[in-house]
Amino acid sequence: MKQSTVRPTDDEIEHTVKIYSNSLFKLCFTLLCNRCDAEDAVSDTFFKYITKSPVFRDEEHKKAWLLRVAVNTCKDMKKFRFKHETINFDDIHNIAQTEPERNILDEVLHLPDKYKKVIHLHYIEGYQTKEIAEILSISPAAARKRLQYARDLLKLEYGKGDSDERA
Amino acid sequence: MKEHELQQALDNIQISLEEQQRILFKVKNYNNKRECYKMSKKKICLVAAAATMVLGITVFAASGVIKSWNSSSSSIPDYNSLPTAEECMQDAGFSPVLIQSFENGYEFDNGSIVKNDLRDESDKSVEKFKSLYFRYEKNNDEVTLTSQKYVSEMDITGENAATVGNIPLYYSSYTNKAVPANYKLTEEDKKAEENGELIFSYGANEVTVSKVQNLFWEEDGIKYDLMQIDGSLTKEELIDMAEELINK
Repeated sequence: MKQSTVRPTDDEIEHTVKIYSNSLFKLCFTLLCNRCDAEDAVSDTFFKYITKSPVFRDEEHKKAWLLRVAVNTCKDMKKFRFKHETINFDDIHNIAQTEPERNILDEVLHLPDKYKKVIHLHYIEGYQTKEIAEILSISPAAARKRLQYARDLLKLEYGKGDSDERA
Repeated sequence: MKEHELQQALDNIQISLEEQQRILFKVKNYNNKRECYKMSKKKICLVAAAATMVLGITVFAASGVIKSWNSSSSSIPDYNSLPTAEECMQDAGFSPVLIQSFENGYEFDNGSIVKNDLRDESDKSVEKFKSLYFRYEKNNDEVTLTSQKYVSEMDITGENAATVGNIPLYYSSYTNKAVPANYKLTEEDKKAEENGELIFSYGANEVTVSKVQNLFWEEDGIKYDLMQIDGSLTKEELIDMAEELINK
């Protein structure tokens, strides 16, 4: 990616943080399973945005770049700590509004990371498998398979002509 | 499970305004690299921002190659009991002197692994290393012990307060003023900062002033820092604790 030598201004940073922090936080929370680590990962992602100062084609490109960096940041954080994520049940309790939602969150957070990523990118960010493949640097076939396997693990019922077709 | 139920459950994950503001502050601070800290004053930044994950960004206005010191760790302690030498070696790449409790009654409470990144003027990483940050407690009075190993050269500040064996101990004390992110320095503040009487930490909810004491020494290539904020320990007691560690 072409690098810019000019760092974003405070206004640009504020705009970027306000627009994307929620999306990144959702993704990082799904991967790291607690709010503290998610906040850290989101901050680190924005640090990289400042340090790298990439030139983006458009907002979609920027969002995809930030999501990819967030995924890698979460991966590095886990590697650094030599341990798997610590699921904070208080956080889940506070996020979920009903018992069924709590159970769903619990199931998603217990999935292996590679399935969490595709589930999140497809169901929350609305990406198709081709786009997911680009973000995660995997083949479209692998993205499709992962999404299918994640659905199977979650015993997810999905309608014809619905998200499956989009994917 | 149905798709809309999954989407609803995941959509409930929302960043709070407070979390977003903390991130914004940290990110802006990272961009601007405010020259509000000096090398020996790093640890106070760690404490001031401990509730958030990025512990501090220290800018060294006067040092040579190293211009900033970025530290981060989990706000959840990595150790709830004193780690073994093997664990330290695995987690941080070195094994410091380990002590469960000091003779004056301070007992190990918990500890964290801190990631450090030293950067030069062009913001290139010069050296990355991990520190071990242990908290000791006695009757709600806390003292922290940081051990770390790095090769970059830094100026040592503080007075040579004592020598144990052939190891010199350097003591410094100062006043820290933790202020909100949008705090504007008064003329009096600016003057006190210039004189080195006050060190400012940004990002606090309200203005608080703390007395900080710091004792530094180096043994077998490992740098140790004993620090207390608003505690009851005297300089002599800190020296005794350092002596206990060195003689262990």
